[in-house]
Amino acid sequence: MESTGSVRSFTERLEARVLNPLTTASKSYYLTVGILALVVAWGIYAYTVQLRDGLYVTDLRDRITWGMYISLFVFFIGISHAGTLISAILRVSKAEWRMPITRMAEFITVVALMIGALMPLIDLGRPDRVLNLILYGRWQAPITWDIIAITTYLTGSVIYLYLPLIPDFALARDRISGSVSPVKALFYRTFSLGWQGTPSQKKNLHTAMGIMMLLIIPIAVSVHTVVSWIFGMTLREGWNSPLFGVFFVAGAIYSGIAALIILMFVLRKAYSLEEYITKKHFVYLAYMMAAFSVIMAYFNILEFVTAGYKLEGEAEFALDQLFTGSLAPYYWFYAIGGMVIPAVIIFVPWTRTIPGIIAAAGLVVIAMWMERYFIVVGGLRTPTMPYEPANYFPSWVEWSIMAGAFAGFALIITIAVKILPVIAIWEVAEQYEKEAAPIPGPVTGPAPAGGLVSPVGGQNA
Amino acid sequence: MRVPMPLRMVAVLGLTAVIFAITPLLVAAQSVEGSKLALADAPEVAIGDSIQLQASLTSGGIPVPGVEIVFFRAVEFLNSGNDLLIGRAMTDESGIAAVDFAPRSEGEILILAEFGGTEAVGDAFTEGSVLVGPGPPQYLVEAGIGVPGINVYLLAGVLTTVWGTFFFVMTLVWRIARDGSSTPVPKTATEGATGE
Repeated sequence: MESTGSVRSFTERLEARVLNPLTTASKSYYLTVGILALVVAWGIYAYTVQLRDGLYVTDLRDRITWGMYISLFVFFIGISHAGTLISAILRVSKAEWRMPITRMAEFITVVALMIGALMPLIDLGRPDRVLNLILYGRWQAPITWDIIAITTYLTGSVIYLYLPLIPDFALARDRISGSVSPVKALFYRTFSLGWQGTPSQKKNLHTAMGIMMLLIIPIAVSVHTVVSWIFGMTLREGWNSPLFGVFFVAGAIYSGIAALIILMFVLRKAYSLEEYITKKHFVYLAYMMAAFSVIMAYFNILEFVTAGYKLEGEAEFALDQLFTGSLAPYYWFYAIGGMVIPAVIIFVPWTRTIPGIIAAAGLVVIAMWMERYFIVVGGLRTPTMPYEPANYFPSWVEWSIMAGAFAGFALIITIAVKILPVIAIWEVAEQYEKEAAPIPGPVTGPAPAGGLVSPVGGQNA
Repeated sequence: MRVPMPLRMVAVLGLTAVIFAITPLLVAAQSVEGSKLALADAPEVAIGDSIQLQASLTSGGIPVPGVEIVFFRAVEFLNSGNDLLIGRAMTDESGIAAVDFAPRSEGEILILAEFGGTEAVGDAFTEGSVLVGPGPPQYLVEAGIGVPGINVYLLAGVLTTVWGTFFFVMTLVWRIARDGSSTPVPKTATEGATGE
């Protein structure tokens, strides 16, 4: 009975802690939203300049036709792998510690895909011509595969985000409908699908989640493989590599973990989730990040030693510009700041603290963006004919759109956490119940619709 | 008069050497004299069409059967002749050797024929030309490796399976909603707490 009481107390606290942000918003929240919205507005303004004057306002020209936008496309699609890894792979492997952070990982996936998918459209001088891809697209073209893969992944990720939200929406419907706006209450009522936690509903939900967690993994891997094929299917030096697919997938997971660590830190701080998101979560994710830093370093060695040993064609130019030429600052920041230093921070016990891990994750995110940048620009900069190599540096329009993209990413998440519970309450409660109450006993008092033991949420104030 | 034995041996060896040295020269001189190779006139041909190149070999006016004739197309690249082999053929009873030739470029093509010679018949060489007119484009090969089963239908099948699974999952969501509609949804927090 004591354990039942402990479960009840834990669940009450959990519900209050997670549902409370859905009912209230502080001044600093509105300030954050306001600042982010301003940056997004500036990015939109920059885009209108580009639409009006054409791609001439960028530094993209006939020799370097892809730059900032395509780098951001690859970067955001990479970040989106956070949800797949944390939520699906760890769910399949029954790593129970991931429960409190799955929802955040799934947020990242959906939002990053939305922002990332915009980038190729922004890269088009005439975005209306994207219709030509549908009207005249060819099955043989990697860009067609890309559109199909990303559309499929986004659809699957939205379904995968939504399924575990159903019981939490029901909980919000039951607990906080009276203290939120009528629109929000209607939203919870509609999207909870009348969830009552009946055995039949639970069975259908678990079946659906089981299918999706298995299906989403190959879809995610295929998406970043196909993204890599945009480059790998060409004969350009630096891109023409069968290693690109696995390189991109590993890099995507690497940056995805780093992005998740940062988001975890921000939400933990903003919503006082220290009881649920503990140092253990940061350290476990950091270990995974360190493992991927080693994998990435290995792929780098494979890629550059084999190309550098043979120096076939334009390989010498391509490697020179990376190691000692114009792209060297990006490359060495990526190699040292993005792989060596984060790994050292995580492997050394006295730097393996939450601030240390955040610093490592921040370095990885910046380094992975740089990696995408020098892959895209470096490949196009390497001459395929006897002409002087072109140079590229993003214009103010490109920097502004990049700032807008990052701000948009943060803004959508900031708004979403006021609508969607940031922690899967029912899953965490079920897990706690399993761990804390090994002896089954009758639960006194009424049971809520979501299957939890707490009576009325006390967070409505 | 009796010639000493050593001197006789030297004389025999010397005579033998002279005979060995002279015989091939005599034979060669005899065969070269009558060996002649000639290419038959070829009709004008279009690119892609195949024609037969014929060369006749005679020795002293008599056809030479059963010997090999080699046909080349004259090619020059960077001032270095490196003729392109068209084919090899044996002469028939009439002394005629023939190979098939399908020109792949337009213009006048120089054809060379060569007989390397035998012990009985000396070597011979000749040249002629073939006039090639325009024809349909060449090198039309089907793109791709063409592994059976690897095609757009496979891609469509994979996509159908994935999207079909999405659809199936959505039917489960619909079942959840159906079950929920059959159970009254609480309107207040207090009522919701007494859920099931």
